Amino acid sequence: MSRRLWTAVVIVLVPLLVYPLVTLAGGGPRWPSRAECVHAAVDGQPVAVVFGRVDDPVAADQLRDKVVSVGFKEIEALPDGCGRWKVVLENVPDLGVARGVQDEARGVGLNPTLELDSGG
Amino acid sequence: MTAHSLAGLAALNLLYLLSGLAILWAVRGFATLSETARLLGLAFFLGIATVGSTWTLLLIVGVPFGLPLVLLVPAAVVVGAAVFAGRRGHGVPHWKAVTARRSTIVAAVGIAAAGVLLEGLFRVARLSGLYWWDAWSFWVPKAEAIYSFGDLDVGFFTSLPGSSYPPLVPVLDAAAFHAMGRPDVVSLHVQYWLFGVGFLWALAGLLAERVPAWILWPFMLLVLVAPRIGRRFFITEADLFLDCLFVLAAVLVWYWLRDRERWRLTAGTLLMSAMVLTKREGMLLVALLLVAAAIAAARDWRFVLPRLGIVVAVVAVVAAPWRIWYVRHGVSGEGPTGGIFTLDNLDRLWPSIRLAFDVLFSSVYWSVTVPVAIGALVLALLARAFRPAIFFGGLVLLVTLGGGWITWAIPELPITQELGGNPIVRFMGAAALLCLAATPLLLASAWERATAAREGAGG
Repeated sequence: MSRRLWTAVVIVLVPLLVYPLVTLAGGGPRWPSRAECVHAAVDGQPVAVVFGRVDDPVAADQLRDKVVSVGFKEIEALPDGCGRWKVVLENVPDLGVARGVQDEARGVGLNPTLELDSGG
Repeated sequence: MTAHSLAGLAALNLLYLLSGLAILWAVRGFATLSETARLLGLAFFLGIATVGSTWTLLLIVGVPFGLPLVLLVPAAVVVGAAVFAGRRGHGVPHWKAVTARRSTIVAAVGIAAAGVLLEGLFRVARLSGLYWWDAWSFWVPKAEAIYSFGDLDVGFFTSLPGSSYPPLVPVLDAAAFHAMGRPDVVSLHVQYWLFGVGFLWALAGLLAERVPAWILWPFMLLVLVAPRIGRRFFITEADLFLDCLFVLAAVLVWYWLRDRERWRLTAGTLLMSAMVLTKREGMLLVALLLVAAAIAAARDWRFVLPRLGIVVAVVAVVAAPWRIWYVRHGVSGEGPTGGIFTLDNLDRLWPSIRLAFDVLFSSVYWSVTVPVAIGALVLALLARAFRPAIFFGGLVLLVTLGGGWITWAIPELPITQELGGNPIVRFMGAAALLCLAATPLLLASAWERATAAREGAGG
C-alpha cells in the first residue's frame, strides 16, 4: 500500500477507535438501583407516606385497597420509576403531619415509611 | 440479555447484507473487492427490501411468521441469487490494488467524521425508550403481535391507529424480535440505527461513482446533522425508512436514465416494491418518481416508457395483496375521503400547497438543505446540465405538490405543521432527503460541464 493510502486508513481508524475508547473509559451505562429510588424525608419539604413497594400492579392495587379499607384516603398505587410499584399517600405537607399518619397506620397494623415526596 | 439482543441483531443484519450481496452479484456482478465494498450499503438495503417484502407477502397470504421463516427466506434468496449469478457467468470479485489519490484523503476525513457521528448516535439508540407516539401506539405493537401470534391478528390489526398502513416495518421489527430472542423494544432502536448506517453507506457508495469526494462528503455529513433526518436514525417509525428507500430508488432510476444499465432499474424496482409495503405514502412517492423519470427522459420515450411500464406492473403486483387483505377485513382505504381527484374544498388548495412549501423551506427541520439544493440546481442549469436538473428539480417539486395534495384532498386534516394533526412534516422528509442526495449530483454535473467547457476553450 502507498503512503497516501496508509494515511487515509489511519485518518479513518484513529477517530473511530479513540471515540468509543474515551467514552468507555468513563464506565459503561448504568441504571439506578432500587435503593436509589428511595430518598429520606427532609424537614420542611413535602413528604410521601409509603405503605409498601411490590413487584406488580395487581399486588399494588390489592395493598392500596387494604389501606383504603382501614380508613385512609387519597391513597394511590403508582410505579416508582425503578421497576416496582408503590402504595403511597403523596404530598403530605410536613414531617410532623406525616409522623401522625404513620402512627395512625401502625395502630391498625400497617408499617409505612416516610420518604421525600418526588413531586409526582 | 442486551448483549444477546445485540448479537441477534448483528446476525439478522448479516443475513440482510448477504441476501443483498447475492442479489447484486446476480443482477450486476462485482469486478473488484473495493467495488464490492463501495456497494455494501446498497446491498444491505436491497437485502432488507427483498427479504422484508417476501416475509410481508408470505405473512399476508397466511404463512406463519416465526424463526424458521425468518431464516428460510434470506437463505433462499442467497441460494437462488447465487445460482442465477452462476448461470450468468458472474465470477467472484478479485483483489485489485487501490490507487490512492488526494481525493482518497478527503474521503477518509469524511468517512471518519461520519463514523464518529454515527458512533455518537449509537449511544442514543442503544438505550432509547419507546417515546414516539406512532412508534408505541401502533408500529411496535403491530410488530409485537406478529412476533407473538405469528400472523396478522385481524381483531388487533384492524383496531389500531394506522390500520391500513402496510406491514413491512412491523414485519422487520418482528424479525428483529425473533433474532433477539424476545420483544426487546429498547434494543430495537439499534436496528433503525443500522438502517441509518446502511443508508448512508449506500448513498455515498452510489454517489461516489459520479461525485468527487470534496463535493460528496459535506452533504453526507449534512444528512447526519439535519435535525429531522440524521438525528432521527434510531426512531422506530416507518417515515425515515421509507424516505431512505425512496431516495436510493430515485438515484438508481436517475443513473439508469443516464447509462441504461439494466441492473440499476432492477435494484430500483426492488426498493420501490418495498416502498409500497412500507407506508401509504409509498404508493404516491413511487408514482411521482416514475412521472419524473418519464418527464426527464421524454426524448428517449421509446426506450424508457415500456420499461417504466414493467416497473409499474411489478410494483402493482407487490402492492395488491395487502390492499386486498385490508379491504376484505373492512378497514377503510388509503385514499382521501373525497376521492383522488376532487374539486371540493378548493379554498383549501392554496393554503395546502403553501403549507408544503413552508415545510420544505423550514431550516428547523432540514437545516440548510433546501436553499443549498436550489443553489446547486441553478448552477446545474447555468452549466446546461438540464437532464439532472429536470429530473431532481422536477421530483422535489412533484413531492412538494404531492404533500400539498394530501392536505387539500383530506379535509379532516387541519392546515398545520403540528405533527399530531397533519402528516405533512413526515411526508416532506422525502423531499428534503432527496435534496441532500441530488445536490452533490447536480454540483458534480455542473462541475463536469464547466471543466469540459474550460478545457474545450483552452484546447
